[in-house]
Amino acid sequence: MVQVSNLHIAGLGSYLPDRMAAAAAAADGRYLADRAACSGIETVTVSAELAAPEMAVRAARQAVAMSGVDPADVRAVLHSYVNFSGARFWDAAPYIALHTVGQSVPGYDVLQSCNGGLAGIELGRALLAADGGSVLVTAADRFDTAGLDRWNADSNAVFGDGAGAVMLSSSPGGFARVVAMVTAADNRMEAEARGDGFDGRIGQPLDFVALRERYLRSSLPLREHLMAMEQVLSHALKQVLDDGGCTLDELAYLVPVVPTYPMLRSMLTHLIQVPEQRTTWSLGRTTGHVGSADHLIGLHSLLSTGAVAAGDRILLFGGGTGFTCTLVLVEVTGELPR
Amino acid sequence: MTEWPDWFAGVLRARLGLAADQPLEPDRPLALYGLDSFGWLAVVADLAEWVTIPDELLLPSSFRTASTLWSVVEEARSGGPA
Repeated sequence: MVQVSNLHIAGLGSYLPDRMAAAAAAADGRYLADRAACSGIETVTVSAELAAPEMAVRAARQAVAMSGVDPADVRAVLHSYVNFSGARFWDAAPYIALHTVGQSVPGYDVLQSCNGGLAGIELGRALLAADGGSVLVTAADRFDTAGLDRWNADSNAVFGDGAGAVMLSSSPGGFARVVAMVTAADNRMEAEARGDGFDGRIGQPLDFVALRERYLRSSLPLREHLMAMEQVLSHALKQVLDDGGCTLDELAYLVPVVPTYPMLRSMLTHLIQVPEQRTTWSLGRTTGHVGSADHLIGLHSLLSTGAVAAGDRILLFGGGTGFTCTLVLVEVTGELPR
Repeated sequence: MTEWPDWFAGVLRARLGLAADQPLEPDRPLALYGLDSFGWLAVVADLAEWVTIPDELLLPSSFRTASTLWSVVEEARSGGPA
């Protein structure tokens, strides 16, 4: 088994389309005024042309080029998303593999809701365990399908478009390494985005607020839901910090899923006491919640803007309805290749 | 203007940390006062002296504003929809 400490980050990439102002959306009635007043979201990234897999290719090409990895050494492409990728009965990962590392590299669509990008890193480690090499992990989303209102579908997030990519390698080198990684789950919360039944008609309006309330009425009452969420996240947080020999005070940055500001503030108050200034909220409030790509985009931003330096530790704090969370503790070992 | 008893306003004002001269606006989102999901449960615990809110009424939408919460309290006190 490849130890977590031998998992290296050899390349990173991201793609973010143009930003659209939340205030403008509120002014013309597209964004509910009381939500706009609370959310703290300034802009969201909106793709006018590229489909999600095309954005993933843009991000992945950066990661591949940065890594210097020979495509022949890439064992797999693991791709995640939350929303529809643009074609039915079709997987996006082979497309991304074809246009980045070649026709012979197997691609796997890895779905775990908003935790998908980090689930890809978790599974990438397992794939590298046998023979080493490299794994390309990508995540991308575009939230403009019929029935999905990016501004109002959920009261806890506003959806933005974009992509992120990371090249994992079992070989020393690169500019960062994974120090510790923990995945924890509580499947009693699987219905939070499903409600109380199955209604998979494509194009039907998605209302996550209503679905969540149906789930709370039929599965886990609010009190138990909040306790379950706190327990699974607290357990994972303690484990990853213990495994990494690190305290919260020693973290240079926290990269969370991008929620609305009240959700972030709640998380930083009750679950993980890190000052807001040491999170990637300043970026997230300009992108919105980019599905399963938030963490890959946030990590790329921290490294590419010079916000972190060798020796700094970054905690990627995942979580997706299901509920499953993957927490990845990364240590910066050098600068990005120029 | 929503009318509610002093105990209800007192519980909310205390949990929201409002100063004496700060109004509790009925239709202002409680999130704007800084109330989060953990605060919801604290409010429910504080209200328990006057009313027990059953699990089926404990929903995120119940805590959208002071007015929506008061409607839920009235429903709980009456044993049915207000």
